[in-house]
Amino acid sequence: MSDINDLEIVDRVLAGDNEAFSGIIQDYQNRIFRYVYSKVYDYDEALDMTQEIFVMTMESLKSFRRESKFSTWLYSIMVNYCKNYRKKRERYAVIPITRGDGAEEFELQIPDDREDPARDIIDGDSLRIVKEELFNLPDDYREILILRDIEGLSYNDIVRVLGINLSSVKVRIHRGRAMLKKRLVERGFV
Amino acid sequence: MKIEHIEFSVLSDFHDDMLSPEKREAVLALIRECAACKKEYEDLQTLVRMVSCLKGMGIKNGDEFTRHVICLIETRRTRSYFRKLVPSAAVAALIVFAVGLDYFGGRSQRTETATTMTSAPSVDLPRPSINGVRAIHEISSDYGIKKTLSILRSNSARVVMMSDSYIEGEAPARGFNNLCREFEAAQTHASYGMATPVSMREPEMAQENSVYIAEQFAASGARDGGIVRFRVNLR
Repeated sequence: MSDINDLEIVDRVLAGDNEAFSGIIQDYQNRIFRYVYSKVYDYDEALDMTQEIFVMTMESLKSFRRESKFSTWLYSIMVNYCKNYRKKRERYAVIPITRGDGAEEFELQIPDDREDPARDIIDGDSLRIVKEELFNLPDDYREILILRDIEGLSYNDIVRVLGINLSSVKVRIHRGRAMLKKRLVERGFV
Repeated sequence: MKIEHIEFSVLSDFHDDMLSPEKREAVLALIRECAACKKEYEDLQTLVRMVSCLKGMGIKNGDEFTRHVICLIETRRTRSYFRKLVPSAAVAALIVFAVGLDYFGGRSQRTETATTMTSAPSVDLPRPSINGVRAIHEISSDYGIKKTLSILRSNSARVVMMSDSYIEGEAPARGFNNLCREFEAAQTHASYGMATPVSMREPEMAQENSVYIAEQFAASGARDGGIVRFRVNLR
C-alpha cells in the first residue's frame, strides 16, 4: 500500500470512520508481527504486542504530523513499544532459539511469485535455518536486517525509525550481513 | 580504486545502491573482471534473497486478527470515554455529599436543640440562628457579679462581654438548663424573703474567671456540640 493510500485511510479514521483502520491493520500486521516476533520469539506474545501497537497507533493518530511517511511513523511506534516492553520484561533478552522447532511456531511460506523456483535454492528447511541464524544474531544486527532486507525500508527510513545516524545504519547492515553469511556458510548454505 | 578484491562492506553498499556513481562504476568493473569478487557478490545477493523470503512469515489468521484489533480499539475507546467522565462524576459526588452533609448535619443539630427544649420546658432556649445571627437568651440574676460569674464558671459558660448591668456569654446547650435553674432558684429564694448574695463588682476577678471559663467552655462545647448565647441581667 502506498503512502497516499495510507494517508487517505488516516484521514478517514480521523473523520470518525474507525472501520477504515482495518486497511492499515491488514497491510501492516505481518510486518509489525515479524519485527515483534524477532524480539520475543513467542507467537502469542508477539500477537498481543502487535495488537497493542495497532491500538497505540490508533490512539495517537491525531499526533501524526505527516512529516514522514505513515509507515515510518508506524515503525517508530513499533520500535519504541518494543524498547519499552523490553525494559519491562527483561526475560526474553536472553532466551536462545531452540534449533529445529521454528517450523512448528510459524507458517513459513515461500513466495509463489518467484521467476524460477527450480533454480532457487530456498526451500522450507533452508528458510527455517535462515530464520534461526537471523534470529540468533545480536539484537542490533538482527533488527536492522529485518527492517532492511525483509521489510525493505530505505536507509533514510531506518535512520528515522531507529534514531541513529546513516553511517551507523551502514555499519550495522554490513556487519549483520557478514555475520549471517558466515554462520550460514558454517551450516552449508550460501 | 586500487584493491585486489572488493571489501564486503563496499559490496553491501553496492547492492543497496548506496555508492556514488563513480565508485559504483569502479566496483562494477571489478565484479566483471574478478571472478572471486563476482562470486562474493553473488553470495551476497543469495543471502539477501534468502533473508527477504522470510517475508512469508506472518500472522496465521489475519482477518480474524484485524477484526479483533478493531473490536479492541472500540472497547478501549468506550472505556476511555467513561474514564474521562470519572473526574466530573467524582466532583458531582463530592458536591452531593457536601450538600447532604450540610442538610443532615444541620437537621441533627436542630433535633438536638429540640430534644433539650423538650426535656426542660421551663427554659426558653434560643431558636437556631437565622442568617448567621444567633438569638440571645435573657436570664435574670439576683446574685452579685461574683456569684454570677461563679455560677457561669461552674456551668462551663464563657463570658463574652460584661458591664455593670449585664453579662453576655455563651454556654454549651446541653448544660444550659442547669445554668438557668440556678439563677431561677435565687429568684425563688428572694421571693420568699431570703437574703440574696451581696453584689460585688470586681472586673479584674471577672476577667480571670472568664479566662478559666473560656477554657472550660472550649472543652465542653467541643464535646457537647451546640452552644447558646445568653445575657444575664444583673439587678
